[in-house]
Amino acid sequence: MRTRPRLFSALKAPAVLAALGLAMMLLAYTQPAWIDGRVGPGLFAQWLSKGVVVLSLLWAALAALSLTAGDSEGEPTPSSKPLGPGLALLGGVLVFVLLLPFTGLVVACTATALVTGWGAGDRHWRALALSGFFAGAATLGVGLTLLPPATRLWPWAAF
Amino acid sequence: MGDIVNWAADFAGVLTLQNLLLCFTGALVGTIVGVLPGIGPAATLALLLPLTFTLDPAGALIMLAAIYYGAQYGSSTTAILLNLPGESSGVVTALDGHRMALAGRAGPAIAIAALASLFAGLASAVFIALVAGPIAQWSLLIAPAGLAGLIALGLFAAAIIAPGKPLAALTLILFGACLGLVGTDSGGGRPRFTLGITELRDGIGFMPLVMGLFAIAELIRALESGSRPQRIAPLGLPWPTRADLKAALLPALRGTGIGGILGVIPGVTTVMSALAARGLERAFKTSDKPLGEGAIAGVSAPEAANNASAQSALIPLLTLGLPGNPVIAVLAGALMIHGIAPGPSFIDSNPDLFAALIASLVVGNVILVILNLPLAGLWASLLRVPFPKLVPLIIVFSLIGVYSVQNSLFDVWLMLAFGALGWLLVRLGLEPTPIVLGFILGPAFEEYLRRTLLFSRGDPTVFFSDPVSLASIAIIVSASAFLIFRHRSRR
Repeated sequence: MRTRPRLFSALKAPAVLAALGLAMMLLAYTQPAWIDGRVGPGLFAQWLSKGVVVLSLLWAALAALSLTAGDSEGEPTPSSKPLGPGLALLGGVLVFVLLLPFTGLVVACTATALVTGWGAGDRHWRALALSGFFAGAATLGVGLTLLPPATRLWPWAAF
Repeated sequence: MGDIVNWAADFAGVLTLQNLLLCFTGALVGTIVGVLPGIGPAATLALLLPLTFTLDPAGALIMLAAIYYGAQYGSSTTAILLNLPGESSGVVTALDGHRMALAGRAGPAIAIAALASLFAGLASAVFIALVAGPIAQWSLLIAPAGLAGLIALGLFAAAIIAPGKPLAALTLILFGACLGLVGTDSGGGRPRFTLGITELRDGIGFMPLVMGLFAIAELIRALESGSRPQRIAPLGLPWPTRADLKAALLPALRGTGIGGILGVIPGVTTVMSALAARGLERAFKTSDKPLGEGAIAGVSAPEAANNASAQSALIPLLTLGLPGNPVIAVLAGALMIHGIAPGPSFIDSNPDLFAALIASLVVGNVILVILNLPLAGLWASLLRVPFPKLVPLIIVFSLIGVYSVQNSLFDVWLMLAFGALGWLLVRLGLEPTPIVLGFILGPAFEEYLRRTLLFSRGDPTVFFSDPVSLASIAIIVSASAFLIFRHRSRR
């Protein structure tokens, strides 16, 4: 009875890659492989994407076979760790992208530092405020010294 | 003789105060970031790449090289003091080095590691200076079919040697190569894989890709694993005795030899060279303690091999444009951002840059010893800084780096997408690094393939008539057959 979840777990990685390869393959086939007897933009793209799909399927088949034979050594093991830190770090980047056009670099970086600091496990508000302050100060320092003058650091600067 | 005199003049020419400072800064920040567990040399290079944006190509090359081996170096200090290597090759050093630290000999262990690395670094710099030129001359004679074959061989070697399943690594390399094709097709000017997005017509930027795959995904992985040291071993004076030096000499020589040779082979990583060097030491009698119980040879041989291998891995990049492992692929991408295209004509066209690189290797290795002997304790104490305090700063600097390349918010969206992809792969138990190899080599492979088929008027049999291509295909086929046979016989 335990084989089924293990099989699902072993097939996850090749299935994801096969899906990515399939998407690439569909896009690759919108391009011509040959143009007037010359190599077109689609040829290599079709080969590569087909390769991704074929290898993923082969990998899935081998994983399923080795699981049936009771030998799953070396198969990638999906992580079961909590999603929180990852989501918070990606959320921090998302906050940066969404805020930057309106607030400028310093505020966007400060907000990102607060979100990522929280995601990294810093729960004390003073520690978080300090991380935000350091990130903002460092951004200001970098912005004033290394970045081009046109870089928008503050909300009130011209677009 | 004339060549050596010219080369020496170029070498002296790049040793300006500014370049020395760049080398020092690169080695310093590379070491600092390399010390942190979970952030390996590839991620360190990616994170610190924005520091080089304002520099001229020679300065950028010097600093990038210094960051590269600084990051390699930082790993060994924490491996010895804390049994917590910053990157995988430090694992081998830790086997005996940490034993020495526990026995109160951390100082001599760090000194031996530093001196063995210095020796290997200097020897490898000379090796690169002597060997790279002739290999580059030879590679200019290789036809496009042969170069395509060599790239395929390099990718295949990287896939079968990569940790985990070769099939998974190969699939990721091909996927990375697909990502490398995004943009305007160089042959006919048509957009490819762009989904109608104008910004993608210039292709996927290298910075968003590596920052997403390494900075974000690696940070998440480090946060999830959460390994932090409990106690730092007392350092003591970092000076080895004469007996220590004597015990370290021959292993360091052997380690340098084996690391230098293995590093040239595409796909071989520093940890494999370090393991091979340690394996070789088993054939010799150690003069102090047995291997695994705090032997000096267990520190000097892998450290020398690790450093020699890291540096000689530059040879296929500089002469064939072939990055043999993901770290070198990140370095190659970084060089391309600066308009430096590694490949067969690199050394001939840019003797000043080649001299700058060799100078960086020589001077940087000396700087690292000066930095690391007195400051080893300080590097280790960096690990006392709670990781949650570092994560926001690393993310913020990564974002500024990605955004500032072109002042493009789209690049940050791409970084977010690749961060999510990298995290997904990590959660699936996969290593995202092969994607970068494919991303760098895919377009080059297509270019040589296109040229070959153009010259042969679409006849693919040319790949079997060109000797280099045929040899590459033969090696790939026979190695695949061997792997399948071994897999079946094990079962």
